[in-house]
Amino acid sequence: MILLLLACVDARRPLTFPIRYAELPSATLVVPGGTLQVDAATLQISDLHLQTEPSASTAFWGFPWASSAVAHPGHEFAGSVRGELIGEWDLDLLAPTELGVVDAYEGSIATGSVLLDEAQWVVRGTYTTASGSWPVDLQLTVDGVVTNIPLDLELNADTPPAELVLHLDLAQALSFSSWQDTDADGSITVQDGPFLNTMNFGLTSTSSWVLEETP
Amino acid sequence: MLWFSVAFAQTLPSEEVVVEAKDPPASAAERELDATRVVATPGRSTDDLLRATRGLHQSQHSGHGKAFQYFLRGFDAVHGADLSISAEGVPLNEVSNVHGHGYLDLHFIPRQLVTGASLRPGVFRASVGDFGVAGSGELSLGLANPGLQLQIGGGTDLSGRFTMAWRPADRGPGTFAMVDAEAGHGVGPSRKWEQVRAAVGIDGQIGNTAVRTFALAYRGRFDSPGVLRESDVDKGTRRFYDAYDNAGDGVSARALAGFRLEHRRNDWSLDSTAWAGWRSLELRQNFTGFYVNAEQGDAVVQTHEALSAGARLVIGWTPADWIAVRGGVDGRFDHADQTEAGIDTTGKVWDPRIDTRIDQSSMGAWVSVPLRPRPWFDLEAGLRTQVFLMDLDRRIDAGLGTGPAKASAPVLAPRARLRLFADSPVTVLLAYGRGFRSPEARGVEQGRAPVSKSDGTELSVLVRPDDHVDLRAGAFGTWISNEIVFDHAAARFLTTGATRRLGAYVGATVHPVAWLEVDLDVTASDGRYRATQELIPYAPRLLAVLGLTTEALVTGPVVWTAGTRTWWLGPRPLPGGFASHTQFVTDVTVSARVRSWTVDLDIDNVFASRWRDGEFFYASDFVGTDSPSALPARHFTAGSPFVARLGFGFRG
Repeated sequence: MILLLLACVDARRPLTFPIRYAELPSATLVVPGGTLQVDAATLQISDLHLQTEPSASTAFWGFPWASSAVAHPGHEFAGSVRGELIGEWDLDLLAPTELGVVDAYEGSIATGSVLLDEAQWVVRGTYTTASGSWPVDLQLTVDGVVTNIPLDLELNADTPPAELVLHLDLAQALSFSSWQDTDADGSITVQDGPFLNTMNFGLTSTSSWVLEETP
Repeated sequence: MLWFSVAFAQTLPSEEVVVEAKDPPASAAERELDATRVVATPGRSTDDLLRATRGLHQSQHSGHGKAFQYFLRGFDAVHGADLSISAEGVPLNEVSNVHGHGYLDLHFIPRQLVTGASLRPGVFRASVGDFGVAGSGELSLGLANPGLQLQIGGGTDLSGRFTMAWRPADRGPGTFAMVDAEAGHGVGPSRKWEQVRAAVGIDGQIGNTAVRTFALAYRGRFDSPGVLRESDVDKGTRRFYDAYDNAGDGVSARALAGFRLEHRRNDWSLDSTAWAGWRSLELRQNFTGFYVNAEQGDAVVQTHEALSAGARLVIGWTPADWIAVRGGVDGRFDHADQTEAGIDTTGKVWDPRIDTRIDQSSMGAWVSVPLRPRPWFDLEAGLRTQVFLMDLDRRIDAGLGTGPAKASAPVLAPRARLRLFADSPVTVLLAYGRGFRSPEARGVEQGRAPVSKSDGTELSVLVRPDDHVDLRAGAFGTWISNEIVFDHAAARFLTTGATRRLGAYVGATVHPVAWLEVDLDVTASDGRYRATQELIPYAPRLLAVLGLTTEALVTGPVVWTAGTRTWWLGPRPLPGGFASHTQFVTDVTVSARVRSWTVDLDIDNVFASRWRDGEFFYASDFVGTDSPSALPARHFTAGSPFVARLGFGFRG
């Protein structure tokens, strides 16, 4: 009987659940020095992954969480990806978007990631301070991966999550910029000061994104 | 079954039985195969004989001609890293082979040339050297029957085989000459193979000294079906025995020559072996398609060319009935040039990764003292010491950079066994041994190199209620303070922490009638990382094997030898918390001889089950999509399909 009990091996079961992007809670954002009234905001995002553990800082085969079996099918490691939704989405950041259904395996999820594959990011609106208002037209291309978005989740095929929700904290993503019309052309664009770099940094910063299970 | 239809059969004495004094067992799971049992063990190649090791599971993931992958008592011994096998005193594991340390490819030994095997789970004898971690084995070579022997046959896998062997009537099994050639298409694409073997041996006696020399030569070429994504089979885009394009292939060649002297005089014995060998291996494989490199693909080619030579000397002295002293020295030297490179779909190298020259040597010495102070009590304590020296030049190494490196690695391995009540119906065996594995040369850096060491112990009981029944049971444990694995992708030694393997087995060998042996073995192993209690991946947790063997059964003019092997393998833990399927397979071999003529029938997978030989979880992309899935997916290598091989032979 003891020998037969050893034959039992718990195996992760597959499961699926939906994920959506949740719109900005308000079109008025508090940004450094004033407020931004967002008229339009769009972003292209790609593949979503859920990992069992934080990603290493150095890539192993380009993607730090990816599994591999290069030398031998017994030498590989399975990788830390436990959930995935492959695709590309043009998000209207002011409106919710159903992203699709995540394929996942049972187990603990610690982080999520979003791929920005030459992603077009556009923010338009009006920046207002005590001294005046400026039209805003920010457009840039971002290439990178947003890793280690915190997500404390225990996946179980018997009780899959009702839904995962992805939020972008746009105010946080834009908070690293100095918000000045440095070229004095009357509008704020990525040509103003360090906007290009700071927006890039802000969008790929883990703190700008939130993943949560629908309560 | 055939043997049930011959109720009034009688048995013949074996034509020629060579009985050698065997070491007292250290474990109830040890097994000795004589020539009859070798014939009655199902399987096509010499490698298949190792399946007779109790608790061992082996899998073939790359075609007919590549070394098997071995699993024993909670160990994933990969291609032989933890399983030390020798033949006539010649170690067969290849050190620092580019495809795997301890690479154990027995395809170069003609199956018909194996006359016996000692198969030993656990490592409890001081005589066992490098790669003795999970177990060891020793093959005896020779031609069991005198005269000219011809055999020709074919199989439903579109295979054919021709064997011609000759042994002079007045000489022992060690004098022979033989050639053996086989080729086949296999069931499904990418499974073709061709193999040619030649062997010659001479034995004789000079006074009290038995002299023998032998030489083996082999060349094989094989296609590899590689792995299939299970989802592709489920969707119907691939069939179970399909293969992806450019899945892999290989060319394997080996030559080995040995010279052995065995001298016995009064209370002294001396056994010495000198050997030399050449090895060439070229493997192409792709287990991930285009996942890592979307443009060129993930295929790699590995080449390994090696020259090896070694010698061993074993001396025994028995000054009294109750005490003996045995000791030995052994050494080997291996020179190897090996490469690894990424290749594109046309086979052209685009990414050279390894180009290394390796000189690796080892020297060992051991002593062991068997004592039998009372008839019911005997024990043996031994000690082996070994030192490994490595000198390599990395001309290219993507993981470690280039340049020379020298390293050494010593190890000390105590071993002991105790036996109580050897002559009574209940015998108790207790054993301890430290096993070890040399460092894989390509991973060493200047200075001291890490040796993998294990401490194993076993308590077992043999019960013989009568002459027809042997019952056995045992419990074993192996502890490794810091598991060292060589990461081929990163070209680094990785320490994965302390592990332990605890297990137990029960078994019975029953002779319900004189011509039939029924052998059942159930081995369970629980291997875990001690810090996390996670299961050690791939290692079987429960393996049950039922074997039936006839021994020279006579019905009228026909002499039958037959065997079946039915095994059930429980789910195996896979990396990342996944698990494999349960497997159940039956193989059969039947040999009928009428005077000088023989008919042999081998059937693989009698019930034609679609079983998965290997199962793996990782990401792959065999299509070449822009955005491949990183989610691990189940992959499998198809187990052997139903194949029947029929052979006709003449023995004159």
